Amino acid sequence: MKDRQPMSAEEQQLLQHFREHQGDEPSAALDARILAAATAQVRQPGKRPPGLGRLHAWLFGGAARVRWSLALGSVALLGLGLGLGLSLRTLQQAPAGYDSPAPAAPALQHYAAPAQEKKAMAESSRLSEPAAGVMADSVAELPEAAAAPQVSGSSAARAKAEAPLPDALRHILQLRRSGREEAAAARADELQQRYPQLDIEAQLKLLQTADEAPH
Amino acid sequence: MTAHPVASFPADHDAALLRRYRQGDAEAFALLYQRHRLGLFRFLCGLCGDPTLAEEIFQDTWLSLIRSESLQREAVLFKTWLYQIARNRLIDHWRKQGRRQALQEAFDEQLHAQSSGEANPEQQLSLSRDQQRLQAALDDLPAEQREVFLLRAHGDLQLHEIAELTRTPAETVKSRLRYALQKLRRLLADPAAAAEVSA
Repeated sequence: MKDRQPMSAEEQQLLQHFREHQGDEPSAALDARILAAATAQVRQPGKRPPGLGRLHAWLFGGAARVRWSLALGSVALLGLGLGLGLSLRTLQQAPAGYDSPAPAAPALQHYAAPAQEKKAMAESSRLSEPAAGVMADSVAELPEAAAAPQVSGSSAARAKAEAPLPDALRHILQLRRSGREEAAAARADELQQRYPQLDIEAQLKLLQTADEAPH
Repeated sequence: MTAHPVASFPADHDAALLRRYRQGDAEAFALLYQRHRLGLFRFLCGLCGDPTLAEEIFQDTWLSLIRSESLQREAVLFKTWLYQIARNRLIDHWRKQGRRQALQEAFDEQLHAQSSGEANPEQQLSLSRDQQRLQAALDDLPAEQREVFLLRAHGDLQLHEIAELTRTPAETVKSRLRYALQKLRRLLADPAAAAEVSA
């Protein structure tokens, strides 16, 4: 630093002498007045720094490292909490139809499902006739495959036997069309056991009429 | 509160304490006050020779700093700033009291330049410790020399800092300090001790 020249021993001695022996000191009352005024000044409501200022003071005040860690930790925790909350909310609001059992009553399914399936089947049969044959063969094998599991009571057989009503009816129709009357009758009997009140023949007729109606 | 008046503290620490105080940290002010209270008070006592007036100016200085919203300017040391406030307050007081503006009067350095050759090292060692005599010696100095000496002794300011504070060329400050030291050594040499050594 400029002018920071080493002091001579004489200068040092004289300065030190004055520092040590000029014993004036502010009174304790004066100290107290000044410190009280300083404290009062920063505690005045109007003089308090605004929110950001207080935050700044807190962050850059004493023990700044600890305070920064605390602040960043709080922000991270808040972010984690928000993320979790949003995820749970999204899961709760997910549409029920995607991965849960259809809540609709069988009566409603009766009117809704055949129309959709009729469309889909008409499309596929128009696009590829051979594929329809293959499908019919594979469908024809289902009753035999389903018969054994049904006796054994396995879960796969139960799932097959408990196929939705429109599918079961359509399956019976397909069996009849392919000339497998016995299999069709067996499926009809099974269905009747599941739905004792159901007029299976009437339902089959309705389904057949809908299939034969001009598109 | 017993801070040494001339203990050297890093200037950036003072600035950081002041910033913390401005942001609402009262403890930072207490530290700042503890560091500088003794030096500033003794500087004022030595300059005006009146402890009551020194207390008044001392309190005004700190209250002015407390109530000011400003932060310390970057280029200026906190200590220089503090002593400048105190000095200006004292000059204002003297103006109001109609006292001649001793600190602003022209001063012929050469008139007061006296050789200290007659004071040998033994005499220098036997400087009087009597407080009244110290004050009397200070009072006997020209005001400009007294001010420079007190800023050096109690403010622990460097010559260029004193030059900045008093708005005086550094060379002038240097010569004022030299003359002040010479005169004080001469005034404070203990005649009794000197006689003992020579005997």
